[in-house]
Amino acid sequence: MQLPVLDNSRFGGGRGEFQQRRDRPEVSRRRFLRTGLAAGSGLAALAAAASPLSRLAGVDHDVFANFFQKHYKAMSRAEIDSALERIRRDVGRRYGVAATVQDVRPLDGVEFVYALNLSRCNGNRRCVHACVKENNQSRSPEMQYIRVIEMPKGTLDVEQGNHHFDSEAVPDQEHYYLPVQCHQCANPPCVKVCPVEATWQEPDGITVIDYDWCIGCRYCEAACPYWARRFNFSDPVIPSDELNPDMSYLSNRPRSKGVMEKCTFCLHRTRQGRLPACLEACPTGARKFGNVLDPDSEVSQILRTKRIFVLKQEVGTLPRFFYYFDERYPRSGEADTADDSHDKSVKHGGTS
Amino acid sequence: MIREYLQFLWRSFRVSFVGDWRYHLWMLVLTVIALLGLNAYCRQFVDGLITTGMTDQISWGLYIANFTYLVGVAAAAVMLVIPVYVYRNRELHDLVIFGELLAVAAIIMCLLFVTVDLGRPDRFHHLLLRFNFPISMLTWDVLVLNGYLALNLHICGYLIYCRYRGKHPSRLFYIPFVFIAIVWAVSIHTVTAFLLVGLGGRPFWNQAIIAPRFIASAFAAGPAIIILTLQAIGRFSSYEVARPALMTLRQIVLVALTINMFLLISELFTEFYTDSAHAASARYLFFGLHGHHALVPWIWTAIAFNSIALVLLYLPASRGLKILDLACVLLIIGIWIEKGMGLIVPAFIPSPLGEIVEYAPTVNEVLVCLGIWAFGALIYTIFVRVTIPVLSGRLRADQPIDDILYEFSQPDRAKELARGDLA
Amino acid sequence: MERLDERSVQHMEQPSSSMADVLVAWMIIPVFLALVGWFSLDVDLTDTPDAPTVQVPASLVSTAPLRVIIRGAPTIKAGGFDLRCSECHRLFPSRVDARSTMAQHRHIVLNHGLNDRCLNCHDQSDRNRLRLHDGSTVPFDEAQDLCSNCHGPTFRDWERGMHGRTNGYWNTDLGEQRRLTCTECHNPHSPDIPPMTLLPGPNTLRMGEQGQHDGTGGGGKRNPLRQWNVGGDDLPSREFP
Repeated sequence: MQLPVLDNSRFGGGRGEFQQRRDRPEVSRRRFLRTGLAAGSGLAALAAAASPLSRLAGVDHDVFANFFQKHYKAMSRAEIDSALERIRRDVGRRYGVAATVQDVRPLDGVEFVYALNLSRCNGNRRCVHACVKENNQSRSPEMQYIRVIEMPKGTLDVEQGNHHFDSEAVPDQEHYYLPVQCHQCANPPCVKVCPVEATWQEPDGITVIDYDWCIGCRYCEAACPYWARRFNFSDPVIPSDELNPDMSYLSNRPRSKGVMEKCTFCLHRTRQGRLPACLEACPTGARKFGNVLDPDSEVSQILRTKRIFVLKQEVGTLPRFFYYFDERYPRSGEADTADDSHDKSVKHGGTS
Repeated sequence: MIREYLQFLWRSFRVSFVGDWRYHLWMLVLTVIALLGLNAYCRQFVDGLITTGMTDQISWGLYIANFTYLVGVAAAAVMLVIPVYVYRNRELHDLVIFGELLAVAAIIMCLLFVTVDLGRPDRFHHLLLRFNFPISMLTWDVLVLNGYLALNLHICGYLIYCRYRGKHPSRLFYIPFVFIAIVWAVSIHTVTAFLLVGLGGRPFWNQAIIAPRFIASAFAAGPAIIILTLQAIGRFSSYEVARPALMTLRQIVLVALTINMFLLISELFTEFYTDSAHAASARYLFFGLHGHHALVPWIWTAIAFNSIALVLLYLPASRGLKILDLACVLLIIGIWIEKGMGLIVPAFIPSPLGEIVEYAPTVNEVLVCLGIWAFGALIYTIFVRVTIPVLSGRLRADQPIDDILYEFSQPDRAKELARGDLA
Repeated sequence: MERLDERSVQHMEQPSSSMADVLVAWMIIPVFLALVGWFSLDVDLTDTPDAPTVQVPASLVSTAPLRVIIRGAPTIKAGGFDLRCSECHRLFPSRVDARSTMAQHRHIVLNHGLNDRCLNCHDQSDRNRLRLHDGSTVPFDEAQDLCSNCHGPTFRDWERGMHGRTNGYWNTDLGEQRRLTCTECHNPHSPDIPPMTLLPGPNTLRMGEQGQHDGTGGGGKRNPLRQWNVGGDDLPSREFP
């Protein structure tokens, strides 16, 4: 490549000048000092820029403790036990609570399914808050796995719903209520997209997250069609007196910032045969849970006899969460005919 | 051999610190912004991503927006390769290196943007230990981006180092890689598009048009950036940019921008003629949804900028550098808005459950982004700083570097000396 | 472009620096030191919002049943005594077609669909028990046998666990399952589940203003569904009495 203006040969004068400048000791000393100061101040600015990192030193973090910990599926029994022990210690140190941290394995011959009777749900949100307590979710910033949506009748378009309904009492007669949480889909898009396999589906159908493996890229949060996954934008805040000490590795042990979490069908309870916290808190009995492989379980019977449907079926996620209505009459206070003055006894053919 | 290479690196290091006041001012400003960004990121590392404006409803924001844009720039920077190697346009030969250096800088910025977006960057090694390839598109992205970086580093490094050593580069060591890079460039941006396209829960992204739109907008914005940087290089260094190079790039930008506008019209028709519930995100972006309209001015500004740039480029007057530069600036900004605010953020509004939460980046987030951009400009400046003397033969292994140091510290005086103005 | 001035020409031994060169060169160190100062101040420019959730007392999410049912025979306070039903009803005959409004049991509001006679459920001869359709009686804590006389399909669902509330274990091999009986949720005189208090809604990070809204789509046309059902922003299309 030719440079039109400059070429090598004409630098004789320049070299001489430059060489002369370099030979004068006062000049070179001054230059050295200035260069040194500039470099020093630059490095000082660099160090000062990184100064917030000093806040990491004294804080109780598990960042380095679990750096070498393997993926849950790759850990041996002993390694899992030492991880559980570490978690127990951390909980004791941070919250002053003696927790039991277990590794609860799936039961054989069990596949969980959840059914929700939309005729019975009145939107009182007790499930939401029972879940928060049971699963040690952050209170600030707030995290809630379950979202109850107040829906106008006749549509399943969640965009027409209202998440922030707030009235004296529920239910509102013009609406029905749709609680949504992780559906533990049989074809989960979140599992597909995780680059490090930090989330996977277990044999009993529950999609779990290894909180010590997640890198926090939030791809799964973007992928979930039901907005079921939550991210810890900061260290979770849980009051010590509200901590649930009955914990397990894959479900409700305290998480750190920067990792994902979600509903796990309370696997620390359900894998030991108990019902999930949301179901037990529901005052109207709208929630049903059980083993779909057992033909006599209530969920199996619901799937066989009720008119069930799932949300966003067209996305092809094959959810394990089924909704149904089984109301036969309008609820009290609602008119079932256009003309309320009509004599009911005549209509229903009954006598007094 | 290692010793010579280390000496080359040491010389590059020295050369990058020497310059006139314009150079020092430029590098100082970039360094200050980069340090501010580093400080903001350290805060984020300690406090978590709560220092950003992202939420559970909008889980990807400015970081991924910039990442998407820069992947396009990196892909398009290799566009210069096609006319040179495929159509054997010799005039552009040396421009290939500038384009590939820009690709290297852009990819480094992409990798930085992804890293600052992670909730647990300290767990990067998990990617090496359990890699969900080929199912997860993010793993494809990791592979293609790093591969592209390695490719371009090899090509540029090899060519520059050969020239520095005064050796003729062996075609075997770079021609095959150049052709791989051409294909790879399209793949990096396609993979990034497929990241978004494959998500059934986000109807705004779940469309086939996203990938072609990515390529089209990237091949408009990337060469536009190169047009501007080449002119800057021509102005501030001793390198003279051949005008045919700029005109070829202009052609590329023109065609790509035309395709981009066509695809935009196609998208608008599909969304708004059908007017199904799937159009909620598009409605939010272009017209506002249920009283929320934060992005509406942004997208219409972007469309206006792109349209004006397109019209300008079709004018014969755009062969003149002033109009061309104006068009380039307009479309660089327009495509940045379109790809960032106009693509990443609206897919999250409304949320899959119909909730509308809007997004605004925080000061910290903006500082981190500016810091990464400044860092990218910094390393690109250093690359160019080293490359030009090497290409012109003034920085060579067998010569002392005093000349080049002098020329850099006193560029005007050096020019005059060389022309023989002074005795 | 800088022009060499007279001063520079004279100082050939020292390469000249223009004013700008000197200025910028001397700016570098103070700028970096200013940065050091700025970073040391540790000013947080970002507003980290407080998004706390309202603490809900444990009682509100308890797993206890809504109603406590009567075990054995019910009693009523009268004249300072706890009296069994039969003690008064032995003495005072009541009308067979007694309806809901009664002077003696004012606190009972009968709002049970078509049922407007007390003796539809209560046994006339033994007020300590409930009467089934075939004339036999059951105690108050086995009311499901009575309810099933009319609410057959619901009872069938309840027997299979598909209706009603359950506590404890889904897997009865591992623990006890407690199925609540009808009257532990439903007041037999007014069986509709009453309106409940609502627990607080979401207050998530950087949520912004929130309100209800109608859906998109439909091209702005009138939806016939809205004739009788409320939409997002719609008011009811007709008044309910």
